[in-house]
Amino acid sequence: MILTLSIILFILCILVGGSRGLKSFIVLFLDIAFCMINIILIGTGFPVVISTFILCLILAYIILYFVNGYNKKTIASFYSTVIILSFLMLSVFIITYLSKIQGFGIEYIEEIGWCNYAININLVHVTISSIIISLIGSIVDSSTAVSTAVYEVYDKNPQLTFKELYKSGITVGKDIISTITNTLFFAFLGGFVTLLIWFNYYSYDFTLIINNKVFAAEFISIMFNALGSLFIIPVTNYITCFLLIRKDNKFVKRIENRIEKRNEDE
Amino acid sequence: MKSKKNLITNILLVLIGIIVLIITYNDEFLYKKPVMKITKVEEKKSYDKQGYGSNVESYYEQKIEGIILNTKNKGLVVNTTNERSTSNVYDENYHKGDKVFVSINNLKSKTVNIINYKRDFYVVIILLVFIYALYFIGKKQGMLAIVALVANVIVYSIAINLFTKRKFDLVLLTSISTVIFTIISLSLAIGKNKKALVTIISTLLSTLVTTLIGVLVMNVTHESGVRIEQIDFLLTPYKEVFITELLLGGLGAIMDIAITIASTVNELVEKNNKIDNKTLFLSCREIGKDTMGTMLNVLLFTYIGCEIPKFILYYRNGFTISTILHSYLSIDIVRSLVAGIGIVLAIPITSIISVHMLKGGKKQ
Repeated sequence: MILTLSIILFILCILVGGSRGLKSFIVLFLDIAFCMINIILIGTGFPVVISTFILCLILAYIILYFVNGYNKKTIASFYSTVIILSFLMLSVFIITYLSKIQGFGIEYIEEIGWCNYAININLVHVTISSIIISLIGSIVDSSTAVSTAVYEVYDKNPQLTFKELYKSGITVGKDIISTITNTLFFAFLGGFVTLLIWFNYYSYDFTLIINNKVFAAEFISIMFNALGSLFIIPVTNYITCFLLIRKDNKFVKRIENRIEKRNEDE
Repeated sequence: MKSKKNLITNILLVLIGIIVLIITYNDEFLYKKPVMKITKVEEKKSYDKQGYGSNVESYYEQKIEGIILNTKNKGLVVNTTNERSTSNVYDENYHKGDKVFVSINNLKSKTVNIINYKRDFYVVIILLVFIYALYFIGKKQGMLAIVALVANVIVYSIAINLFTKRKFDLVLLTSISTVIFTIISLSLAIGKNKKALVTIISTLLSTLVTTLIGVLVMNVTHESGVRIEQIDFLLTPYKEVFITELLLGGLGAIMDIAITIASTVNELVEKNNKIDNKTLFLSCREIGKDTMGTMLNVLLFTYIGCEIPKFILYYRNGFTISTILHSYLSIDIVRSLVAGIGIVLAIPITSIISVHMLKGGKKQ
């Protein structure tokens, strides 16, 4: 079944997207491969948080530079991702530790009840890792939407000042908010229909659901997903405007040189 | 002055938030079950447990003393024990100040059993931060997004209730819910105009075709290579639940693409209503190529991320990567592939519908 679906997606990607479509398709499988490598690393005792952070940086690097090229848009997105990722790692750690959502709740009994729990790996770190990995795709996507839109505006109106360009970036941000919340809401809904059925079947009341470990873990996961995607909007906006407009800044000049060199080699 | 009014509104909002948080932290009075606040924890190592293979882990026993905060036993000092491990796979590590739900074991000896940790405070904190982020970054659109989310949650709760309690067909319920979700979310995001109609039709059509492809492939290949029955928390026959998940998973992403393309076509036609179809289609294709790269990954990571703790547990219990890949990860890969097909299909479908409906006439 996976083979058939992959072939269908492969054909569609090439038909609709050309070479970029092909690259997007390959990246999908690279993602799976890297996640598997991460699991092996964590499973053999490698420090979880470091491994996850490096993995996310590699993934962001591939998704942005390999598929969309090395230009001011992708550079702005990459830097924003690094900033937001660092901020998120700290927040997720704090909340996960305080709300005790690590590990598994009673609802998981069928899936893990037969396992030996003495695995000697700190599940608080693993839960942080799982939340961070689940949000990397979403924050990169949100960031790309902002940076490409701001770039388009600047491209058609190069006379704009920093303040004016930043303001149009804010408007773009407002427009994509509903798409972010929708994409995340349905992605999670599509993954947890069974849990909802469970809650309903066993007549969990509201107080039980809101204190439930599995529900809290999923809810906090979605929320961090959304928060990361939302907070990266102003960050990307600022960095993109900076790279596009502050041309006399030495940092921007260095980046422009790097872009020229990279694209010369190709 | 406008900025002064803004400042006052913002300060007021923050104050309301703080009040809500304080109430939630002290909301024991709202619960019928006894809540205990832990005042003392004494920990001692009890034994080393042998795990699978060469894993060894220390288990500790905690002697806990606490005070009951609500119900008729308010103020009663009680005690209990808790066993915890270093990995906390299936247990908790309690500290002084934690609040837990308990059940009274023996009133004379003042012993209780801990049932669950009280988490509502943290759920509320992060929900508040989310709402504030939506307000400060999104203003009006942010608030509309919340309205749409709340409406969707209510609609689907009703649908699930009808399924479990009245045995309505799940796929039918979800399909109807999907139509309702699409109409609510897109009307609130775009407004009641032709653009919204275009996005609604495109979304529903793309979702329909995608789900049909998914179901077709599922039946033709007899689900070979995928162990769908391994879905977590499965209580009912797996086929209809899985089709439901395929239906819902990509819906948001498809809406996203529909909005992006329809908006751009609308802008282009507004600026120049003599623009020819070929240019329009080329623009749509460019947008599609831009978004495809990042969008495909969003769903894959969401699905894989949730399962990582489970995979680590399995890996440390002797499962090989190959088994994990084939028996468990395969479900997430299928979900992502079907959603991916939906995303890629939505590009041409939305382009065709937008160009035909938005061109020729000054719309809005």
